[in-house]
Amino acid sequence: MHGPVLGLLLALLLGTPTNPQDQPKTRELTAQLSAPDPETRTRAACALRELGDDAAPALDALIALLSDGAPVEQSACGRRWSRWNPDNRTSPGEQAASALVAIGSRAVQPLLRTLKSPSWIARRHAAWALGALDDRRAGAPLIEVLSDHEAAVREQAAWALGALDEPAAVAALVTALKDHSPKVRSQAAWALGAIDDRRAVDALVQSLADSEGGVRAQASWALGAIGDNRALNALVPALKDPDPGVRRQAAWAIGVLSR
Amino acid sequence: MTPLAVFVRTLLRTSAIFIGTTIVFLHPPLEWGAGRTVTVTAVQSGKEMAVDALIAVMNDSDAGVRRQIAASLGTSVNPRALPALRMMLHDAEPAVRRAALASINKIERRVSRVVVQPFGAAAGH
Repeated sequence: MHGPVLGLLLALLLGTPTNPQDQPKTRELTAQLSAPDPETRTRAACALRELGDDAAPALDALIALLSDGAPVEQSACGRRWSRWNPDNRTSPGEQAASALVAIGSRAVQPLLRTLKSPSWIARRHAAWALGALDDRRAGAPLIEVLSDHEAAVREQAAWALGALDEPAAVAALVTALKDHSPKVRSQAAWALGAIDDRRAVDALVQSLADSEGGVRAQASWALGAIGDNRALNALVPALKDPDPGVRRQAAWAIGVLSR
Repeated sequence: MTPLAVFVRTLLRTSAIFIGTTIVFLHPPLEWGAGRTVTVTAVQSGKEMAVDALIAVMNDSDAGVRRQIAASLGTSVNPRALPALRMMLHDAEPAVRRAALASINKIERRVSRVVVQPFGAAAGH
């Protein structure tokens, strides 16, 4: 008897009847994604991000924007939305990646295609978005990206594989521990700790002798995160490392492993 | 029950706790070195070695490192860290002192749990 009434109430409360004003708004923002001014492009991508799934009509335009690395003040988006810039800068491409993550699994296939883009900026942003989307389909393609010729892309792929918690990536990440870019080595060490796979222990122990302090610190962290007691002996000398960051991380790992 | 009986019982219970504490402190291997096989003992002695290594560098020049050492000694919940942690309570850096205090509390909670539980159970709680 109350069925229809309750249904109507529920529809009013929970339902999102297609708001006729949503579509024009998405269309307007999509148009702004190709504005001449990078700040306008960034702001449009941020606004689309707030729409989440409703921004799906803008999917292609957002994918196209991924290669846009024009530096923009972070305040353009009203709040701090950027992940890797110590200098308070963001870019339209970075914000487009965030908007694509907000759209969700529909963005996965186009992002996988972007991993083959000629623009390294687009590849890097796509790798980040795929890691953040946490979709299993991205595992194998991201492992391939670990041998990208651009270090910034390899670094982002290593991060994404750690975020995906992809056990199939362990061998490739172990190889990446020998990358010539310290940022890639450090990110690979982090990913191996996040994936938490004992096969990585020996390689990480070798990374404790890396020439870069940041890599040694990250390897110490990973050994603590994996929690294999075999690493204890190797970590003790790191307590005397010249870099305080390494000593701190080694002390943490030793505490965890001696529990 | 007569007051005398209550008194004697309380006395016995408290002294049991004291004796228990003494036993655990005098013979830490009873609890922490309780290796039944050679491998377990090896792992265990590796852990003891690691705790000693942390204690050896407790005067690191970097306060962040000292704070982490204090925290890690608490994570190890190994009572052999207690004397070092008590010294760290006098560190110049407040964060180090806070971490040392938290770790001391953590280890002492573990010790008292180990000691009190068997006797509490025996007394019918």
